[in-house]
Amino acid sequence: MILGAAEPVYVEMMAETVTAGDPTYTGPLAGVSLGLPVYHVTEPEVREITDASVYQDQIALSEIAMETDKIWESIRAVRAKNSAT
Amino acid sequence: MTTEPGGALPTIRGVSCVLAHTPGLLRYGSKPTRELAKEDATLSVRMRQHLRTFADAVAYPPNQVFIGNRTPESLWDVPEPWWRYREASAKTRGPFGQIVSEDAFWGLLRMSDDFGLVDIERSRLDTAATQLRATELWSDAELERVVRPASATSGSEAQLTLHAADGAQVGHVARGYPDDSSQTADILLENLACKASGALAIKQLLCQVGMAPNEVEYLLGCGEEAVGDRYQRGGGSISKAMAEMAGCSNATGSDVKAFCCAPVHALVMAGALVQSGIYKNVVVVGGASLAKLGMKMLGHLAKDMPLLEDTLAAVAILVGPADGSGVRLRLDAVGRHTVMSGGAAGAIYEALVTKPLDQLGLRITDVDKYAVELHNPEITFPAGAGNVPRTNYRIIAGLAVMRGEIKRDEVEAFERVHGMPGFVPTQGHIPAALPYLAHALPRLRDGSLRNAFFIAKGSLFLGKMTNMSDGMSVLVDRAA
Repeated sequence: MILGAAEPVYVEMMAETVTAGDPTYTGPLAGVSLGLPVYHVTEPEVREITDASVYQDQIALSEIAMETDKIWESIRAVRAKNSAT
Repeated sequence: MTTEPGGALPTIRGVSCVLAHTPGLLRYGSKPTRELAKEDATLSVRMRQHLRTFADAVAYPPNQVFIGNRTPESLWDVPEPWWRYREASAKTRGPFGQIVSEDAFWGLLRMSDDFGLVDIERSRLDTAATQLRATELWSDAELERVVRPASATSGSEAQLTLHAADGAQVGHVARGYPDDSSQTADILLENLACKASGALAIKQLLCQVGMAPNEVEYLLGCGEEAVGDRYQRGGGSISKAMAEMAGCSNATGSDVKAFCCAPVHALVMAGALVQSGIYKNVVVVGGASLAKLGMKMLGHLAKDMPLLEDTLAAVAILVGPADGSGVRLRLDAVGRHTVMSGGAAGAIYEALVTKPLDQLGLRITDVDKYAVELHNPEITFPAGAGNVPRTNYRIIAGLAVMRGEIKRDEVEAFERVHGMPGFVPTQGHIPAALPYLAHALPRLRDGSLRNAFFIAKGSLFLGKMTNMSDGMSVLVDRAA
């Protein structure tokens, strides 16, 4: 699962939703632990497998605009805790 | 466009920003209507418990910014949450407009009704007439329309019952043609609320600039209401209806539709109509969006916050020929998102920011202030929609980084220098940049601001006709 949200708090919530289950208990994934490997589109793991020119066109500007340090920190924590692989 | 700067460029003669605090009407917003239909008996009680009083809405710092008693930037110094902070010196009137109560708005709804659709208790209309008289915007003849007897089809099962904030019954709105799904009572209420608030904004504007209503020649409506019947749903033109209500007897008008970026489209068109000499005085008017009241109320209830989307907002702008103020609507620096622009952030902002600025040889950092989608973040954040203006500023800053104008570690500071906190109610097209024009205009005139760039985007994809979004932008500056 690849996320693209810009707000660290939402990234964390979505990552939780597709791994441990919806933390807000408002959607269909409440209590459903999918344990999916979840990454943010700006993370190095995704960037490495993305065509450089496509990344430059589609993502590069958004990456500068995002607080990637915070985003990566929260998604890595969720991944380590909840992702099956 | 290759127009050279000079006398031919039109100017902005005035901007008005008005609010109507309508907690009783909140339940007729689209989201509350749908949620209340689920028959959760506790919801209407919880909603009522989270409604604000008129005094609270007036004291709310972003509302004081909207009518001009505070600068947008001053919100950075207001402790969050803003709704807890009561502005001690708050007033119902400001240099750009005023906040009217729901009591007064019942009267405006009645005044806006030419077909006897709105039937409201006489005692409430008397109160409304008194309050509206105090605004000093309406003539005795106009106020007479508030208290004239209604001919609404009382007792019709197709009518909608109006309630005040405390739940008391206020009156009814009738449907239009029978069996016309374009003229159900709730749709007509939305349209009348748009008309009434837009007319209020026009009255306020003309009062501020000291212009007689009959000097206005043309209006461009930029609201999102679909006025029409079953054969021409959305046919329009609400602008002419507003013109009539505001006494602009010498004007006609038309509506510009482009979701939330219609206001900037309309501003550019108004400028072109003036620059071409077709008309001298053109008003751009955006009436309020009743459908968006309570749009994010579930997030607010979950956080035990007041329902902040309880306020209708409207804006009117007068565009005219150069008047010696030096303020210029730069029709030679208009940005537009074209069909081929694409949907990536970089492509959108290149079309809307760097391309028009390049036409004038300006760098991103040469613009003093960027007005983007100025949604109040305190309303959007608890509902998962983020801080909209901040996201916009970070992307513009990112563009400046990619062009080598600023360093990457300066992205954070860009918002403080070239931006502002969001302060506008989430009324769709109303937060779309133009409310800042009211703040920019006096500063452009006194020289404390060199220029301001207005950027609006519209979610066309919501209408299911295309997957595209839209965007328009324009620079307003002061002649050197």
